[in-house]
Amino acid sequence: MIVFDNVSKQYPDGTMGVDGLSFTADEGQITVLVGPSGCGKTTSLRMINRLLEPTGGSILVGDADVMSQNVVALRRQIGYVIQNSGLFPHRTVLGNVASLPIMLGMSRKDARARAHELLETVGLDASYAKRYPWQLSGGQQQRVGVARALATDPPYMLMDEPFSAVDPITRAQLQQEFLRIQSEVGKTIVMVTHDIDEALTLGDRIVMLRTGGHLAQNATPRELLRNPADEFVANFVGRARGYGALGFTSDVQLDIQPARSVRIGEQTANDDEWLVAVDDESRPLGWLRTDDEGIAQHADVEHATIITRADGTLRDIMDAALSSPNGRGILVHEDGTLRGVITLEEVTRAIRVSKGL
Amino acid sequence: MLDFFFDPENWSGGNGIPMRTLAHLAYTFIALGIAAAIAVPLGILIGVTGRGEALIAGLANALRALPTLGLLILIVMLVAPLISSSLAFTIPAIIVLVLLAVPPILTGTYSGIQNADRNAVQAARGMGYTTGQILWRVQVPMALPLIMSGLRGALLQVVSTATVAAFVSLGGLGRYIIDGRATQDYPQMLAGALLVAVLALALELLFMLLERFVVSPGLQRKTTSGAALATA
Amino acid sequence: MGFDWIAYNAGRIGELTLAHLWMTLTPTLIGLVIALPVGWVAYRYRRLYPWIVGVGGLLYTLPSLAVFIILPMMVGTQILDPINVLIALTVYTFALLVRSVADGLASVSPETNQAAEAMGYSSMQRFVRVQLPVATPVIMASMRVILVTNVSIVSMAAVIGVPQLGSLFTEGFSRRQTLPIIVGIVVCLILAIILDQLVVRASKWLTPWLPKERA
Repeated sequence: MIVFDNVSKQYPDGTMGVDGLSFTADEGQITVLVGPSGCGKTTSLRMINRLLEPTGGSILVGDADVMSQNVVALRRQIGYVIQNSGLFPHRTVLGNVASLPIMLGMSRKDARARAHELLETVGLDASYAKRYPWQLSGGQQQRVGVARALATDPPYMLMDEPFSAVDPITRAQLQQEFLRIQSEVGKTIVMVTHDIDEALTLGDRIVMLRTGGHLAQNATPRELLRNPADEFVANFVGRARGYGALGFTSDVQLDIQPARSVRIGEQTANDDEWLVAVDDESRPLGWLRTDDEGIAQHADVEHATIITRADGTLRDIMDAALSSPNGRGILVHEDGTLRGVITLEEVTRAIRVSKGL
Repeated sequence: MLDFFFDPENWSGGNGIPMRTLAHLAYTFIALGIAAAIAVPLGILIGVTGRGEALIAGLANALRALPTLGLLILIVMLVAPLISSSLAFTIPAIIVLVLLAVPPILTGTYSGIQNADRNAVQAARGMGYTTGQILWRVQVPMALPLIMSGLRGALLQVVSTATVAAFVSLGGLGRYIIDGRATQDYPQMLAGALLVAVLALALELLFMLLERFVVSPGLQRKTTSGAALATA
Repeated sequence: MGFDWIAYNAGRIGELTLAHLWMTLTPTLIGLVIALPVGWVAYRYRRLYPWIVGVGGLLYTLPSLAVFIILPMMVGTQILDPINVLIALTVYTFALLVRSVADGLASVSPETNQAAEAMGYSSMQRFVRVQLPVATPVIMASMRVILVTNVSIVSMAAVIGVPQLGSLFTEGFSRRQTLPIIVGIVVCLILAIILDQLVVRASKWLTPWLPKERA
């Protein structure tokens, strides 16, 4: 647990970086500090591992005030990931991940074995182990950065805009994988971002700050979307309140209809009807329409269709229905096999129910 | 000139090619070693604290503008009378060599530390590296390409100046040039010049190999030439 | 001996200074003229870059005194001919400058290059009107170092008897007089400072688009 109790940071010129900030980052959860530039979010983060020191109030890591702990010992129980990875350019990928454990006395052999394990955890192929940072893409560097932070298995992690410097597609991928890793390791994480969508995607709790280092709202993503505390929060959350908010509701019972399907390579009837094309394992590929009697072929499948899980969010399910050529979304089971189809009308009904309309 | 190289007399004794080459190397590496012992720690200090940069820039410029030969002769004339041993000319000459070798090493070390990837340093600090660990495990390794360039530039400078120092009675390969000039023995001058050139090239190549060896491959694509920091 | 020595030798000091200046400036300018096209080649054909810059680096490694002596053998001049000093300094200037020219040209952003190409500039026009001006600060910064260094290298030639300011050093040494040496050093320093300032002025004049404090 990391606790901010009335924490302030005043700079020598008198300006306040952070002003009377209080919040708690719960054990095993991701707490995201979000806000516009100049809101003191990075300053707050850096005060946790004392790269900066607070001028007022106290920060507890575990049970002790950070200012009463030995600064090196404090930092060694907190993993640290920064925007441009901060990898050591003179060390290989493996060397980067293994360096701190070796320095702390782990045998080289064990440290390397652990590093290999971690590289696998963060989704980097073993062939990258011997490369140097400049030979990696930005996304790969960030993966190594995360692996390095996990190397000593610290109970806490601080992440400063960890996914900001990569392209949007890589970012979304890294975010999803990061959530998967966190579900395995369960660290107490404090993350900083300026991107509200990232905060909503990753945060168990969002601490929104406004310029001058004041707390604007401290809430779960769902609360933040439903009940923004004031105009500032509402504006910052912005468009995410509308369509984006659907990403958090999936507790409505849906009326899913059975689908007529056809396996690729099988004979289809000539009834001018939309069928769900499936592969040999019954996994849907997309919609297929047959004008003439004939064999279902791969080339005829409408691949533009989004296929999503029946237990997914309303946002994903709505995307499935909207992207379908016939207004019906294809839904799958957890294992990717065909579950059924859902109409656009049923999706909008579910949205109304979820909003209590 | 070929006669000079084929004359067995020139290959033995204190004035033979092997001994003079050794003497030249000895002066060079003594001066380089002393200069490195001064300039590397000082460069690290300035690079880490960020204080004294103006001093370095000033020192480097001043020493570059000072005519080497004039400085050499002046210091020898001022210092030699103070020393009453057989090293009366050697010590002041080495002082000048050290003086000329310090600025490139100092500049290389300090800019290497200054230009070390700030994100990596910041990350190391956040991960709980102590100040000493950050210096020796992160900053210095990252600064090595520029430190090595500085050493290479200094080496170049010292080999060259040690040759000229024969004029003020220093031993080494420069003797052939100075003595040859005095006796109008052009073949001997030419032989000396060729030996010096070969020695300089060999040292340069050796140093480039050494750089390959000590600098992490992760940094090698950024390696800069020693010539940029040298002052002939 | 003192100020009367200076007064008595003023004429000679002036002559030596002029000789020194001539031996410094001529090779520096010739070196620049050669380094520009060769640097462009190293920039334009990246495969040649390591070779050209590498050879330049090795040439620069050669001790100046050795070059003064080896050159006559290679070009067939007399050993005491001042032309040897000129050629040697031209080689040094070229060796250092060729890299700066290539790197300076390479510092032109691809967008700028593409814009110039799209506007219909030929390869030659781009070099003269876009790349060279943008590279000028880099090249001029090198020129400052080279000119100041060359002032010092020229004086070395006194050891083999080519007259210029360095002659004051060797004469002072053989007569055990420090005054000529100090005078020589001071005049060399003044020369270096003046030449350096000239390059700074020239650089400012050539790059009027840069902010005032840079040059």
